[in-house]
Amino acid sequence: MRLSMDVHDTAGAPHQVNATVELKQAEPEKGIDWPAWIGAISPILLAIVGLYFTDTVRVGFERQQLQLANASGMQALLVQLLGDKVSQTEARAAASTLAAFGPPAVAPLVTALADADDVRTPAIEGALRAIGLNEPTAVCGPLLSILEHQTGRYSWLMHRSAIRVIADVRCPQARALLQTYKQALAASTLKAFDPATEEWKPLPPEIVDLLKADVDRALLEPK
Amino acid sequence: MRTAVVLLAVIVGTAAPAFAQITPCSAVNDPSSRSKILLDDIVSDASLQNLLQSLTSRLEANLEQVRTELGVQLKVLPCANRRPTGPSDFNRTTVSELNVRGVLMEIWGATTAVKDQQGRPLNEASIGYVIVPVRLDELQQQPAPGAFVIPHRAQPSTVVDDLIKLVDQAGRLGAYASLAVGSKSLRSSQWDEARKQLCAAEAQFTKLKVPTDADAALIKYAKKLAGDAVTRARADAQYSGFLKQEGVALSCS
Repeated sequence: MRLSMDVHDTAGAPHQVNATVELKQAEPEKGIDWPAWIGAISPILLAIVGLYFTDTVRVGFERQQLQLANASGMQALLVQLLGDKVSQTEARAAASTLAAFGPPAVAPLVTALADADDVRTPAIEGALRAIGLNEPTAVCGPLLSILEHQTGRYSWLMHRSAIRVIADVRCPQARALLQTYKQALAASTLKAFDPATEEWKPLPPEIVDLLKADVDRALLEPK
Repeated sequence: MRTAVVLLAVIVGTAAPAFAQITPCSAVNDPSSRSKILLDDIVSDASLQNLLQSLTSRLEANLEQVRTELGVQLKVLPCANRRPTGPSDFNRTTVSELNVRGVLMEIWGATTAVKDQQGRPLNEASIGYVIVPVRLDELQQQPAPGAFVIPHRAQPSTVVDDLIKLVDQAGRLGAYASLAVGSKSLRSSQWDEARKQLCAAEAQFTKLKVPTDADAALIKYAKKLAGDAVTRARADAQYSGFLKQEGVALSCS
């Protein structure tokens, strides 16, 4: 738009001033068009959320199926391992096959260790070692927990097996616990349950010597 | 890689000798005793059942006699269905597990009908022994045998009692048991008991009428350990018993 204006100076002489004024229309805001975006993204979001929940449910279901399959697969092997007439060879074969199940086999193997004798103990220790080579944390956790309980709840034979496997698997953070255990042995504070008198009694010196030898060997292992 | 390691472990684990027939025996874990003798199953041919019963009862009587004479809280425990096939079953792992459970000795037996070089039929009663502390030493390159089988043969016409007399193990069992207790006492630094039992073992070995090659090696072993008991007792600053006296000789006699 052009404007023209006549003005007069102080002497009264007329002047003409020409000016150009441009009027522009205000530009629209450049923000995100949320409704449009949400409209576009919502099907994708819905698909992702749906997929996530479907996957979670599927994984959970598959995990349960796997646990069930593991339990079924391990059952026959455990029956064989714990059987009255299992030979050394059969015990070793059953325990080694259990080891192939990996971490899920640790709990039943450790439980079986509680009543294990001269035939089963080497087989079970071997299986725990085999699992521990691949999954040290799965094996170290329960075994370190056994060693932490020094009140006689677990037999000294279980402690012995735990010490040997911990040493072979080279469990991280086992050194401090082994040193504490060694001190407990030296102080004769470890106890064993005597079924005859139903009392907790200090371990006999002969057994203390056996455990000391295993602890010393374990502490020699490089960590 | 992980699968390969697990498979390797499985293969190594199952590659054990297929002949081992040592089966579990609940008596092994018996916590009430730290000095046990296990009496395993006596394996027999069907035709030799009468011999089997006589042999079993004779061995049990022999062991009872040893238990009384030895002066140690010894427990004789039966292990049904446990049938070692021979000394090779008692490898280092097995013997170590028996040792920590306080088993001093394990005895097994077999009666079979065999033939001599001329093809004549014979009845054979074989008694197998494993002296656990000695076997442990043997597996660490000590020459004395800790596990062996002693066969006894007789004509089938021989009455069972005569064969059983041949098998009578009272003297031999006593010597083996003393040696086991003595050797174990030596390991746990009980010098007086070690010396006493090892000298008793030596004396009983010399009384055997028909010593085997294993017995000859075990006499030398008992003598050596009896001397070791004195030497180590003298070197032990905490020990102040009679073995420190100057008059005590290294040899028993």
